[in-house]
Amino acid sequence: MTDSEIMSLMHKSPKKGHRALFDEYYSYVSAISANILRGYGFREDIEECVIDTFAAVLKQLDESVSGTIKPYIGTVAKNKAISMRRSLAVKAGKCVSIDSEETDELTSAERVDENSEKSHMTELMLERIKELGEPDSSIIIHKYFYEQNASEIGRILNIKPATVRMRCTRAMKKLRSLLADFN
Amino acid sequence: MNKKTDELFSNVSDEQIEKIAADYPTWSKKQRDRIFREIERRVSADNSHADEVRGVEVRRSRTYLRIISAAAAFVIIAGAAVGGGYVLLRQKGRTVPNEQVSETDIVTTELLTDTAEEPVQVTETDLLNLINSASYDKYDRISMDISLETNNEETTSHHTVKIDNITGNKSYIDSDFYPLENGYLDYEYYFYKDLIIEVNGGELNRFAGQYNIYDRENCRFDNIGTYTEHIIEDINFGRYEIQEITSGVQFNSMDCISAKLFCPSEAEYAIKAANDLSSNPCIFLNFDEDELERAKEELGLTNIGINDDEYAQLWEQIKKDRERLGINDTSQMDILVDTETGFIVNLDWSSGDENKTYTVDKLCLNDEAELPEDGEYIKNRIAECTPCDERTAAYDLSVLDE
Repeated sequence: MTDSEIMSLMHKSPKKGHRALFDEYYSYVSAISANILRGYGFREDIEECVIDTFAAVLKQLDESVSGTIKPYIGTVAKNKAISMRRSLAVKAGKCVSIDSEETDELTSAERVDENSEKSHMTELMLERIKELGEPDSSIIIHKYFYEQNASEIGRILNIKPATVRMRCTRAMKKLRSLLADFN
Repeated sequence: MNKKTDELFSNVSDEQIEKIAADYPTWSKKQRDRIFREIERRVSADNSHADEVRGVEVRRSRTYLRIISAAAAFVIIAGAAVGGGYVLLRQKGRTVPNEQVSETDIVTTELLTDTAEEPVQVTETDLLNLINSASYDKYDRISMDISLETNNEETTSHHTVKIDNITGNKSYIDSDFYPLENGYLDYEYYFYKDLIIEVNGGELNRFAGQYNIYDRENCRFDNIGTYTEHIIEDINFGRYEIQEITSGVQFNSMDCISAKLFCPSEAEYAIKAANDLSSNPCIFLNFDEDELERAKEELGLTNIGINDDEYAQLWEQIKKDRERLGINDTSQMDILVDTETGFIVNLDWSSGDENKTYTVDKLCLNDEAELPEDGEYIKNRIAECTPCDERTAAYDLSVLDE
């Protein structure tokens, strides 16, 4: 469904429009949230972030919005996830107070050249993951990108959790060998 | 997950995220429906309160994820549904809905205090504050022996909990005797450094003699709880009317407050809980999903993990059946709360002919508490068992030698 179809449906029947918007973008929003919250939160935090994002978007969306909705949703999702990551980091004691003596030692860890190389590696890795074929590629993404457990993956892919675990182990071995050339 | 796999997706660009989202959509239909319901609930709630809250950042609790099943306590107390091991392992980050605490109902009175001459009024709010303030984290060490008995020959259980908050190690041993089958279902959980080691035992346990290992860091059930937490949730959520509060009661050398609680209709409450938490997805959601699956598989349960609509429908049916058969739908519960810790140390629940009793037989704090089992003990314990799968077998257990 296109964005304009979604907007038009939203005017005719808000509930159906909301659902159409959610169905179209839930995967995008959950991918953004998972990517930002990885290592900081649990799966429920990702869900919470997705809920916060859509709740915020649906409250703001009105007739004045024109053109594509995707960038807007993407920005809200990023902001919500970053804000949640901040709270989770504080809770977990991963933040350093600006008054702390340790702040002197803090420097930006960002290296533009390294990032560019890593992004290229990620691209290659995604290609290799795809080469694993289904359901293995989905298992790897759900397991390591979305950090879902075998039961959840099993429900999404209609596979038994035990099979998910087994295939995941094998797929990782295969992936390692596929990626060996790049190490 | 180890460091290497952690770094698999450490640098994903916006375009790559779009690709992942398009190629690998996440969540099952059921999960999506539940999440969407929560979004709708929040949008409509915010619209209806738009004029009331301004300029205030409101951090919403995850009520939609909370397990408040009326029947959670019912099922757990009944003891028949799930092995105690599943029952006692709880997820991180639970919240208590303080807003449910009534400020108005003042009940009873007797002396609570240091000045024996002056009567101190103990209100319902005082009692709720006390039980909601209870926390294992307040003490360096805790050890508890707990027993749970039923009068319908379902189970007799004994639990031992040992928590060392200084090292972070803890253990939980659960032994459930099933008289009808004349056998035991035993579970041992050792939370040791970065690992959770589960050892299965008992003649009724088909995984007996096997152990399982989880990464503690990635595990959702690092907290130990007794099923009184479910009782507290239900009390906070209004399952019971608190009818009488008495202070100065002695129990196992503890100074306690006793309270009589009454639930006018179990079925009504269960339906209310399911409807009020309209997106409450699953009555056992606070168990690790793998544990839930195993519980279902192991015990042949089909009616757990049901969603809220099915749950409400199930209880509507139970209510009708109870009315049709003239079965008592009320329940009573007497509790004793230790004034020092806030722990419920004795609980006597009854409904019709059914009766369940939960007792903390022994509660030791700090220096008096028993320490959880050490690495050597755990190592010897699992040496008698076999790993349940390759993943477990591959674990580096050198941490047990440190």
